[in-house]
Amino acid sequence: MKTIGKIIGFLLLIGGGILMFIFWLMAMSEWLGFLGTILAFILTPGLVVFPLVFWVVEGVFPTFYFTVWGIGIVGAIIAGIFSIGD
Amino acid sequence: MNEISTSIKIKNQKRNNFFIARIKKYQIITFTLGFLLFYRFIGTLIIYFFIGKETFLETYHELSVWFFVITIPITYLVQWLIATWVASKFTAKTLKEKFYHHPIATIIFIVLCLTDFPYRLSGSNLGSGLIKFINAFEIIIYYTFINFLWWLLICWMSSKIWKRQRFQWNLYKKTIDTIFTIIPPLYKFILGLIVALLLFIILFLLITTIFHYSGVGIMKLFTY
Repeated sequence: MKTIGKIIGFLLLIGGGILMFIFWLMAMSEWLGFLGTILAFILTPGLVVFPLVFWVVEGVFPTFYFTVWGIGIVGAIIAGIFSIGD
Repeated sequence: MNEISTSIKIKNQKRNNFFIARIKKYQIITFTLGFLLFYRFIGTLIIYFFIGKETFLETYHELSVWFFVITIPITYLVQWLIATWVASKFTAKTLKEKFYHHPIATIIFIVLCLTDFPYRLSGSNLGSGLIKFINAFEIIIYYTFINFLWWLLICWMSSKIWKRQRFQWNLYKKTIDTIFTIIPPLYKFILGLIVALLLFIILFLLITTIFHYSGVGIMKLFTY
């Protein structure tokens, strides 16, 4: 049961992380073109700063980014609970 | 009067202990059937309340929603009792021994299952998307379990006819060992993946509903 709990938690965490990265990658490539794509791989999103920049540049609050971030946190909590005692 | 209430208490405690002990012992079976119960129960309620009562009645041959509210938990409880009872009859070691002792029956059964299974899947209405994945998973579970029971019957009959083992192949033994090593983590991963995907969708829908998200952030990125 612990294994399944950890699998679920880590999959949610990794899934959330991948979607956050795709969001970051797309935003960077839209703003800076090919250079943005390369920079997206080199730089880290800057978890809190990036959504604020996105909000300022696009004029839209990045709800999707925070939603998948929240799901990732839920995954981390699940993985943490099932990892207690390991 | 006190004696009667004490004996009732002891009986209830024993019954509780039986269920708790079984849940603790067969956690994967409990989790699998618990997840499928949740999926079926919530799915039925979603069809009834959100998709429409008429569609529900049409889909389920004019049966009332209360029929499903009562029968779904009972059905899954019975399934859980049967599955845990069968599981209690074997350990991994004794089951492996059984596989070692009946190579011909096992090979024939595996070939029959593999050839028959695609027809079973294609004959069922699986839906689409993640629902298709979960429905196929449920069918695979039931199909494998039913075939496992048939295999046990064949093995029992075979052991009555042939008292001692006639064939023993090293390659077969190694294959069984490999299957016994691969299947448990693979099963856990697939089940975990399905639950994680469903949880992801539920959480996503919940958050987007609470914050009235219309997907405008994503649309901005796609409509440049």
